[in-house]
Amino acid sequence: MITYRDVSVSFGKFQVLSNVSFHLEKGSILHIVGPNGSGKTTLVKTLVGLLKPTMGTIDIQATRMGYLPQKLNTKTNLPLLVREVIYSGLKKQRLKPTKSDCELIKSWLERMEISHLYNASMIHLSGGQQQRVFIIRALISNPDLLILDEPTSALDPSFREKFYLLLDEIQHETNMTLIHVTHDLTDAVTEKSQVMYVDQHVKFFGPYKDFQHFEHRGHHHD
Amino acid sequence: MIEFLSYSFIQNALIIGVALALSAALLSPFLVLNEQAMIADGLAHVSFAGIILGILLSGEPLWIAIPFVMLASVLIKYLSTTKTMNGDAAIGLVSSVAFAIGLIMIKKGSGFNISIESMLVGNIFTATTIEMILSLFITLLIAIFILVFYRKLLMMTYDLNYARFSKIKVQLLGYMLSGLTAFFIVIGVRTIGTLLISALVVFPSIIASQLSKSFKNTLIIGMISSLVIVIAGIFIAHPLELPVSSSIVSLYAVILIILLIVKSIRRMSA
Repeated sequence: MITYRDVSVSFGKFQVLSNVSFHLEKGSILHIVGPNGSGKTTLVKTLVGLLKPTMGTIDIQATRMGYLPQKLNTKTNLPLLVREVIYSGLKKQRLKPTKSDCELIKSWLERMEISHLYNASMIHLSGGQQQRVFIIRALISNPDLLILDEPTSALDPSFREKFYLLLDEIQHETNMTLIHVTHDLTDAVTEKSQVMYVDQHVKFFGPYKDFQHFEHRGHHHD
Repeated sequence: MIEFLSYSFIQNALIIGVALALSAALLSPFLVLNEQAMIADGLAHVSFAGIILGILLSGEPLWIAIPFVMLASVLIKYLSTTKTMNGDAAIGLVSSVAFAIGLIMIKKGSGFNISIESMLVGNIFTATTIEMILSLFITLLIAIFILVFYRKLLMMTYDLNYARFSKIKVQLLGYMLSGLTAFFIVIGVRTIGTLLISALVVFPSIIASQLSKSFKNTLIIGMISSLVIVIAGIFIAHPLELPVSSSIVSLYAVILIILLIVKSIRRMSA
């Protein structure tokens, strides 16, 4: 489904990613970890098409992609309802949303335990609520490739656990491919998970149980 | 009142006023809430030069001024996408250079008999039939553009990166939006004037966003307030012999001040 061949990204003289190559099958779950400034978000931006690689080729076979950016929106002067934001995640959008689209939005809000926010203004949401709204925007089009860049950074610990269970459930139902950037693997990891450790280069890519050996050897401190 | 409405120059003024009020309010949220409020002001300065150039070269200045300002809007948009400067710097550069050239043309142009003052404050009561037709035409164009691309423009306004990710042609739509703004501004400069036309674009969504939580209602309330205030402005201006643009902008300012006071009183008592 996704193939990277010798992908490098540089900004001027500064090389952020160097010779990244990997292949991911449909239905895989990949967690991307690495220290701050290691190029994780840059890698995500190349995945979602926001950044062209300086060198190398990227091949992605996906019909619908869902994306949760790392940065939350900071436009505080723009009047906008939660449902208006979520609606923008749907593939087919009309001038006036259909009844079934509204129902779909409501059901997702319920799933994310924020059903009271259907008619709420984005301006008054907390960081965690905003993040849940953006998670719904990423999921609502029923994507076959979902890319989450630190989806739980603003979520409280109890909901974080629920969120990963929900994500796991959706992944089972739909067999979507999931790429997840995180600082903390503990809640997120499942048996099927693969892990990539990035620090400019790909330093590790493989199943989670092998990653534990890699971590114990202390490779990421070199 | 009926006698007032029977004058054809008043009828023309009302038609142009309604057209400009609607166009401005339709453009307003996509510019003002996207930190591009100053593009209207910048293009008004460019229009000043465009119209003078038009007067020098042709019998109907608008045929020169409209493409001239639309080109300038593309240039501003292009400069602001390059990494050399920010959007506001691009507007400042292009508009001041254009204004400077306009002043040189007035000074050096032969047989020039238009007053700078009339260019700066405009006059809606002396508008020509061509200007009226063009104002209706641009309103129709803007309305179609906003209705067709509403969702895409909304996404671009709120979250440009997500719009890019969603494969929306943000560059093309951005150029179209500023091109239409340019067309509107040229007509506006002739009737409302170089100095105050940008207020027509800035006020509607600032007023509406005090009253609305949703983007859709911001657009609708903006249109209603714009219509009411522009028409009221024309009615007040004529008997009091005020410039129409000044009476419209003053009305807007009074309403905004009242809204802000009411809002802060309600916040304090809550």
